[in-house]
Amino acid sequence: MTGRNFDQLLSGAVDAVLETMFFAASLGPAESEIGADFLEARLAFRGNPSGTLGVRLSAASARLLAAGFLGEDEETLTDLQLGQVVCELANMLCGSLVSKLEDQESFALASPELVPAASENAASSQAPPTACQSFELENGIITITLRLEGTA
Amino acid sequence: MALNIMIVDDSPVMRAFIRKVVGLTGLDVGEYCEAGDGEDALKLLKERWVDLILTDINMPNMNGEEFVRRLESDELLRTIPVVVVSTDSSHNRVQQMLALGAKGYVTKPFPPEALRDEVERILGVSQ
Repeated sequence: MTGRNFDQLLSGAVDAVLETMFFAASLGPAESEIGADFLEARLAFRGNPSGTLGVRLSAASARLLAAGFLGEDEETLTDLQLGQVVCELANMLCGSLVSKLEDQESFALASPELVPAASENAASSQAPPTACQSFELENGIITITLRLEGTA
Repeated sequence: MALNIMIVDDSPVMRAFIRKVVGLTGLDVGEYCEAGDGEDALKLLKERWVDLILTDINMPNMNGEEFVRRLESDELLRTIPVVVVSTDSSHNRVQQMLALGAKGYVTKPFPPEALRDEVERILGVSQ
């Protein structure tokens, strides 16, 4: 995996997924946001390479993206729907990204899971990410974290 | 004649998205029928007939690959056209699913018109 421009791959995946499925756009790179009101989803993938992908964004950003995805008013969306949309966003970002890592091989993607807020600190005990990038959205920041096995 | 369409995906919001996109095609849809995995889908197909199946691959219990295999092994169910809607865009996976019997393949993320075009191609309709 050496020599790959992971930042470019992440950026391309974010643009593709947000524009085609969420009718939203990344406004460019940003500093990661610190705060309490966040939603985070993670999923593992198996293939060559294997790893995990995490997606973290503010509840306000999640609500805006979910409204675009489902074609519904933000006010009518439930917390359950927000969580499901963030999981689906992680799923599509992961699929889009791994297909760029290796376009011939199939990858097995696990089901995305929401990370409980209380366990967010556990991330600090994980291996350092292979790539981590934040992007500015219309009303917040989205942060994508990629960890590939054997590259720490 | 109105078409009955089955959507098989473990994500309820993805099923809602697909329903919305199919709604935008202008197709005359009678009923949508939804399942969270291949196993549930096969149970539903014992009770009702559908004209088109849109299925994900990565699902719990019975994934899309096994689901399409089961459909193809049934004399009646194999006549229902299947379109795979998946994040897996690898060449090998696409070829594998088409070889198993799927009639179309749409990779997520996709613009609404990509799904519409694939559905119209397979059903032989043009709006």
